[in-house]
Amino acid sequence: MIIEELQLKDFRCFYGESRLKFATGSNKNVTMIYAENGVGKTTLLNAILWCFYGTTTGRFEKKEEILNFDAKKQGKTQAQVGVIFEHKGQRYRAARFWSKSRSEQADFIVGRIDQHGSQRPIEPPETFIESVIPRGMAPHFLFDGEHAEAFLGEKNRGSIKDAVRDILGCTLIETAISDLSYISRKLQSRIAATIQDDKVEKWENESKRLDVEIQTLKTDISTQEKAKRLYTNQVEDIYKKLRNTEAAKQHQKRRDEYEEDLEKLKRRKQDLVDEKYRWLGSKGRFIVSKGISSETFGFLDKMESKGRIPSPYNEEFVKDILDLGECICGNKLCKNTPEYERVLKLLSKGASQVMRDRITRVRGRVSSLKEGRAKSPLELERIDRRLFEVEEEIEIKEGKLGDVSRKLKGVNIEDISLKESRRIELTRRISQADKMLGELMYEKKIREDRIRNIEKEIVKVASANTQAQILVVKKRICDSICEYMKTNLEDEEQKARSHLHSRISRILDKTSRKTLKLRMNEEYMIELLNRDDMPLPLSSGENQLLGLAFTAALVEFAKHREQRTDNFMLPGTVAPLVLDSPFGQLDLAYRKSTAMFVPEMARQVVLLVSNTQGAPEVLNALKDHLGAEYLLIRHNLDSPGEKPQETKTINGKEHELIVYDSKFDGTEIKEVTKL
Amino acid sequence: MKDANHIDELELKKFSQRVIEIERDYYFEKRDRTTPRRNKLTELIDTIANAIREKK
Repeated sequence: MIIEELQLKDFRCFYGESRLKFATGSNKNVTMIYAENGVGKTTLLNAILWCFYGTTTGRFEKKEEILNFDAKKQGKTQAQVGVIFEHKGQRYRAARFWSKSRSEQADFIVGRIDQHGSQRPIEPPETFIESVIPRGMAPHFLFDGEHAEAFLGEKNRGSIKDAVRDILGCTLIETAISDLSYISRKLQSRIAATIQDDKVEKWENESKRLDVEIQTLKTDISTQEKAKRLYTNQVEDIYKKLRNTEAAKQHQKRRDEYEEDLEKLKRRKQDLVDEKYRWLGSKGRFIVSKGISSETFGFLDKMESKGRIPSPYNEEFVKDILDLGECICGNKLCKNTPEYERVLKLLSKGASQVMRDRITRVRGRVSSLKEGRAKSPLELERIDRRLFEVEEEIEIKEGKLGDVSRKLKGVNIEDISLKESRRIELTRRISQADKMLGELMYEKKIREDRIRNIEKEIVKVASANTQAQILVVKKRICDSICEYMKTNLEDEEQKARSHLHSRISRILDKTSRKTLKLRMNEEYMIELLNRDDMPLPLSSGENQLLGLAFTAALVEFAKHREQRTDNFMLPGTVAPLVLDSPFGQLDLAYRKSTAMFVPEMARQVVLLVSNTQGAPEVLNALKDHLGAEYLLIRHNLDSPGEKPQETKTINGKEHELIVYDSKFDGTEIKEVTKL
Repeated sequence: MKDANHIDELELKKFSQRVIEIERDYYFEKRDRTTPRRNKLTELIDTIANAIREKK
């Protein structure tokens, strides 16, 4: 989709009719809209969102008040937003109407525009818009940059995962998995009912009860996870405040250092514990083999001393004598004679080459066990010694952290000591939540295992009942398809993760002044790491940059998925990227480097910026890609009084940002594109 | 396809796509269509099971 024009009629702060044509060129793909705070930047972004989906962003205040205030006073009853756009070579116009008489219900239409300019309605319009940009993907294209940093971090764990899943188009496959699981459960009940066996009925009831308990446990787990996240955020907030408080910042600085050291030590301890497990896996057999190896050696030695090993007779030699029919003493050996039988008996004691090789191998193997046994305890001792040292260091660090805490509590400023007490309480709650989470997950696993076992038992019993057997087959088909889809979903997510990871890393390489390493976990949470792989605390500007990089990567990923032909996932889409205040938290250098990559973020980019964000350095970085520029001007009915006039110079021309004594109260859209 | 215990990857893909087609048919409808959608999926499972039985 490429948006050509936005048409507003008495929508929020835009009085009367206003039009805005966007840059649509493949190189000149950026539209810049300048406006000071409160003039209507966010309203423009929300106008598009409202037109397509009837919704607005979370930050959009008084969302029910669609009709312009002045228009309402003049007795007007209808507001409208229209968007003309191009999609796959066709032009369309979408329009949403708000009408007072319809008790705030809006009407929505989409028409295909033919070459003569007339429109043919598309039914149903919602379905068509969903197929152009699925509703779930829209918030990521119509991007509220002032909250970019909120897009990242622990606080928004869920929303990040949802964002990626929306772009991935997981909706169909997720609903399918949920539907198939439901059908599978229903089939299970039908199997039990068909068998009509008391034991099976009891199992089925148990299974249902466990299912209910699992649902409760899932809710409890989610509650604990939320609580843990809340406490962790609160601790981080306290840390931030202490870092910025004169009387506490030295203590907090030390605590940050100690905690970083402690984190490293804990990781070293974990590495050593892992090493110990590896030792047990590879060397443990040397220790447990003590009994068997000494017994084997004892047996071999005893046999050797008795002359049984090696055997005094060679099996091949005895066979040759018997075949020849003549003993080495020259006597004839005829079958069924006592001499022949005596020589034949030697075969049972004779050693073959295979036997000799086996004995040699046994000796070799047992000797290596013996040697290994001699060396292995030394390795284990070395690991244990290092483990002990690390544990001691951990104890020392924890002691030092305790000292810092005591000092902070002792600071003679009530607020600081209160904060420290609160932090201690929160840390205790985090550890309690951790413990609780462990227990809940264990309980859930026990129940899930039990349900699986019950299912297996019921299937066994069902094999004697033809009707039940048919249902078992259906359940198996259902479960197999469900599993196949789950695996597919996991694969797709894995691909998404690695695609996003590499794209974000590339963007950060271009824009950030630090050398940063990126880590993305299973839930798409991103962390930036230093050279020692330690997570870095980020400034709000760096967070905003990371949020933008994440959005850019998502948009690019959606575009990449547009070509996908399989129908498991909803296809990706090419959509315009509307960025509201994307540079708000960035310093000038970051703004400049970020501005340079903005035109690459999507096929069409709309930037809504304030005066300071649209600094000359930013404009200079964007100049080759600017296709249209607009200024939002505030109109006031009042006189200026003592208020100074605000102006902005764009393309060498000075523009007034506020018009006083105006005929209306609201915002005017003025085109300032350099011709 | 030998039996329900041995559905090969190709067939699983085919069946999964049929499930997705049903989901897609209902996806754009705004009303709650959960029950008819699940009924349709149950019918599909029945059809697949019958096909397996006939082949055996």
